[in-house]
Amino acid sequence: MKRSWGALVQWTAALVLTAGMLGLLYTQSRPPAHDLHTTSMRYLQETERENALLIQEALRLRIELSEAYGRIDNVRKRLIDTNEQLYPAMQASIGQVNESLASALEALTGEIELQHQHVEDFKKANSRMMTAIFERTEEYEAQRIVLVDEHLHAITQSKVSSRLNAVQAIYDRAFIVEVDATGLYRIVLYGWSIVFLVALIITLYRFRQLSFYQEQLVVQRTAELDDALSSLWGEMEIATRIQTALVPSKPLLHGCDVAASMFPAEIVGGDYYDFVNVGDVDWVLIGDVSGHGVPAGLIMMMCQTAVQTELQAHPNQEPNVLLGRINHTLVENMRRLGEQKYMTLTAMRRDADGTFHFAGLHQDLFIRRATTGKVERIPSSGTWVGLMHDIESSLPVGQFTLHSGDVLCLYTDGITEAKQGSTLLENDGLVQLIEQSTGKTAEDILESILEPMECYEVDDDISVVVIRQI
Amino acid sequence: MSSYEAEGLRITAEPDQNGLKICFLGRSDQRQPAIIMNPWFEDLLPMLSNQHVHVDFCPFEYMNSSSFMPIFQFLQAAANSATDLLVTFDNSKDWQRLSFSSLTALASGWKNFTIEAR
Repeated sequence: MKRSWGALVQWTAALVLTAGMLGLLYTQSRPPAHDLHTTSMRYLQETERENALLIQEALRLRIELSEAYGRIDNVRKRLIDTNEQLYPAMQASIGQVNESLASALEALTGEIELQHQHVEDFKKANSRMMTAIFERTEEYEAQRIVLVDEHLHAITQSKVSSRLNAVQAIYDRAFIVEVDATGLYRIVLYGWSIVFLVALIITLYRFRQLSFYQEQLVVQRTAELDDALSSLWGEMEIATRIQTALVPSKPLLHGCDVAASMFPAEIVGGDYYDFVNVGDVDWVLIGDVSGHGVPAGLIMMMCQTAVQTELQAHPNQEPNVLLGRINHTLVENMRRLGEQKYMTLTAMRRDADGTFHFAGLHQDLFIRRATTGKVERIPSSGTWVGLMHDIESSLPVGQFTLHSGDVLCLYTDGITEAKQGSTLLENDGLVQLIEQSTGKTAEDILESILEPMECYEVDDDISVVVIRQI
Repeated sequence: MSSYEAEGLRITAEPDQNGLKICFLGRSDQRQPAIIMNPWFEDLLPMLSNQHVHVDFCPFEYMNSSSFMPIFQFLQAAANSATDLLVTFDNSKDWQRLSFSSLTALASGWKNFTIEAR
């Protein structure tokens, strides 16, 4: 029981202490009511004081602004005053300058007019002087003529001595008159005339010398040209001989009767045909270089050389392969020569069994079959050589066989383009000639094809090859 | 329309329904046809730019071997310049068949180029 009371007292004391501490804390954390009022009042007073200060500042600024406006007004007024003072002065000054300029201009105009007047006066005076000079000259001339007449009359009337005297007098008078009238003018004129005459004589002499030299030069150059021409003609003849020498004179094809002929339109032509025999393999080639003359002949010779070289080394190659290799050589050579040419070329290989393998674009092949007497046309296809590299694939290979009595005719376009009036022979005309050709040998057939050409106008090389299968 | 004519050769250029049609007429058998043709072609080429061009050789009566090179070079330039180039020729004329057979092979690599036998 004692312990219970003691605990109660302890708990009560603790509660009382706690309450006391809480009360103390409350009173410490919350200002008393009179402190709040005091603080508010102080804050209000400070705010009013600041407001008063701001109002004072605003008033001060307003005063300063008013003063500034006043100063600006003063400046504006002063400017207006100044302007009002200056404007009349400026106007007056401009007026004065204008007046000065106007008077100066007037003076200048007057001066110019005066100068014009002087010039006019000078012109008039000059004109009067010239007129006077001419008049006086004429007068003196008339006087001189009269005097000369008088003295001539005296001469005819007097003796030799009096004539001499009279002549002397005339001469003296005339000379005096001349010197008085236009002496200086005439002296200068005569002087210049003499100088001009001398210059003219010298120039004529020079021209004569130059003409003589030119004539000599022309004679010399003519002689040189004659020499060069005869040398050139000699070289052209050699070129022609080379070209015709390169064409086989006695072409040979195993089992065939062959005839061929070439007629260049100019001294050197672009037509080409050749026969190459290597062992049992025979080759026949025909072509035509575009254009005429020496360049075409040169390219034909290149082709001939390349063909011979290539076939001697590889006689059994396919015709399109051969043409591909020839093409390569020609393209390269024409590039080096700077020539823009090409060549139609057909190559035919005849095997031992009589079969022909051919390639290359030239002219259609014409075969007159012995059985029918009619011409079979085998179209030429592919492309030309000399224009671009790698043409083998564009050259299809064809083949045909000649039977006994069949005639293969190869030609260049000179014959199909031969004209009677404005009509070309063309392929049909040639076919007709082949079909109508008589004779049993290749030579006879060739002659009967070429004979009618005498009635045709031919502008191009003509080459014809006739191959008759035996 | 443009027209060029000299020594029997005539070239016309006129608009057609698709673009421009160039026609070769007459004969070209001069010794140096390039002297006549090249100035014409230089004049024609600027007209072909971005055009559908048809070059018709069908009425062309004849050309010699020297005429092919300037024409070939013109067609090559035209193929480069035009949107597309159509060349037509007359297959019944032997010289045209042979000449354009060669052109067909030579122009196989050209772009926008067509050649037709008629």
